[in-house]
Amino acid sequence: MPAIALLAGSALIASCAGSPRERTDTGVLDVVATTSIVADVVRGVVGELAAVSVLIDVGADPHTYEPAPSDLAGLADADLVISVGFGLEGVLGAALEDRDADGAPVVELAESLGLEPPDPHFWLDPTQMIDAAAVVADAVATLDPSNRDVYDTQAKRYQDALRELDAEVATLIAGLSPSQRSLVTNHDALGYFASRYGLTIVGTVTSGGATTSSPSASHLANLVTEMRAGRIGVIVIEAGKSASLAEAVAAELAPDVEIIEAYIGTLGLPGSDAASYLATMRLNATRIVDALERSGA
Amino acid sequence: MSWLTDPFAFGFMQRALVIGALTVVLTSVAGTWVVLRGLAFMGDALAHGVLPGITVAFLLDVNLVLGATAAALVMIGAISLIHRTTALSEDTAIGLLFVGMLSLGVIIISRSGSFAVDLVAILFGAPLAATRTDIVVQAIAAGVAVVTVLIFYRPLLTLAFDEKKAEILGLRPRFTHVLMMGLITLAVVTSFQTVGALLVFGLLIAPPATAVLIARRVPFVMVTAAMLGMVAVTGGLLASYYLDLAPGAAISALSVVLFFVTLAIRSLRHGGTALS
Repeated sequence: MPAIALLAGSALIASCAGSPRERTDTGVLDVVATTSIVADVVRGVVGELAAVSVLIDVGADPHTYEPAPSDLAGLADADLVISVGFGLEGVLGAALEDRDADGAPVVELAESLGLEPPDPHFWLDPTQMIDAAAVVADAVATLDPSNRDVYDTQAKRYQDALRELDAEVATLIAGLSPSQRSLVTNHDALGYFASRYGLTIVGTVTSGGATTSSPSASHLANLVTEMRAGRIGVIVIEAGKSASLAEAVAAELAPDVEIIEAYIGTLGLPGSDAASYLATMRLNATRIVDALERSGA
Repeated sequence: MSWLTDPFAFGFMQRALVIGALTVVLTSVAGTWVVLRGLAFMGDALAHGVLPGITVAFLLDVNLVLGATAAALVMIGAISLIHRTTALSEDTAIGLLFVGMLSLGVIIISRSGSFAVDLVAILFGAPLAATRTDIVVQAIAAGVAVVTVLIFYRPLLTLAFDEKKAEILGLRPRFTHVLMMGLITLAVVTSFQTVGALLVFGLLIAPPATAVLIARRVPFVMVTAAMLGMVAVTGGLLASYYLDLAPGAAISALSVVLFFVTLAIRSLRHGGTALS
């Protein structure tokens, strides 16, 4: 079935001149990044040396993404595909396996970083992104060895910015007292962030790892009880996602709970204050820390 | 009895119960006609076919209920047009519009990309996320449905059983048919955000179908359906609380289980004879 989809996709792309993912034979490396955040690190490393396209549009939820045939064609034709892995890009699994079977390079960052499944949200820990930049640099240099030095230099510059970011976030969070360090998230996404900076995720509004799973009444009841007992005052939801369930939980504990939006699976739109990885992380950290400070007993 | 009351100490459980009760009143008075007149497919098609209207309303930042209503009117109009101008059955017309509208909705969502409508949320809803505003809207809708049925009871009843007779009696069957569609539309468009398209369809069909097994006269069917619906809503919420189940699906499933339990009891009491 994926093979058919890919065939259809290739036919489509031939008739689709000017498509951003059309194969370029100008010798420039054609790299596909699955999410806007992966694309950020890839662009940081490759600079002008490769054409980078993003599969899952900025603003869209990777958990519910469904590829168009043109996306699959882009995947099949790309010189290199860089994904998060651990099932984040669930529906792309088959297409990525096809590439793998063809011997075409696919990098699954979560796996390459040696992380433990199932949580894929490693990018919310900047130090994991530092390692991811090295993985990306190595992957592109393998395909384009003559530019290895350029990739390494650019990766190093990107990594330096991440170290700065990491220190900044750590300083922000260092200002919180131990009683201000617990929060609830909409879906199970902030694990890496929390363990890097010494925060505790008390629970999630949705049940399970997906953004869409419908929680049971007992799940919400337990969450409310735990939040009341632990005097938890902050719920972090993904930007653009419905806050209605989080609001139902907050209403239970009103007026002591604040709901804040953070960029989790995607960057903000171009031109917004969250258009790059560094910007989203600064924004997320500031919002989370401010809310925790206000909530703090 | 604390096992029954404890779960409802939570505000979200109370609001889910109230919105469920109001939805059940609405779906019982609308759904009884759906079952009596054999409009189940129409109900299903409307419940899912409003998707493009909701999506467009979301993208234009207009009230979602308005968008859903517009899509429902387009569907009903197009179905009626196909039915009247071709030899095709209404069934086929409904199927065409069902698939067409649902696909259109998914296409619009896929093209809009960024921060778009959550398809899963529309189909499955979130009863536990119901707000006070949702409750007010649903109460008004339930009131409108009950009053409409009270006023137009005779034409609705005649049409449900005998369209020709309705014509002869001058009860304007075409207008009454539109009125029935209006009731279904009302139930669908005011309920999808809280209980979801799947659950509202379940409540339109299952409790009235069960009630038809028990009660004979239409007003009793409606009241019985509403009571059965309340059992499904309360039981579904309790099951969600104690058995860790998704609430919308628990309520729909229980309403269908109630149908089969009623059917089994009825068959036993009738000595296992075939249903008439």
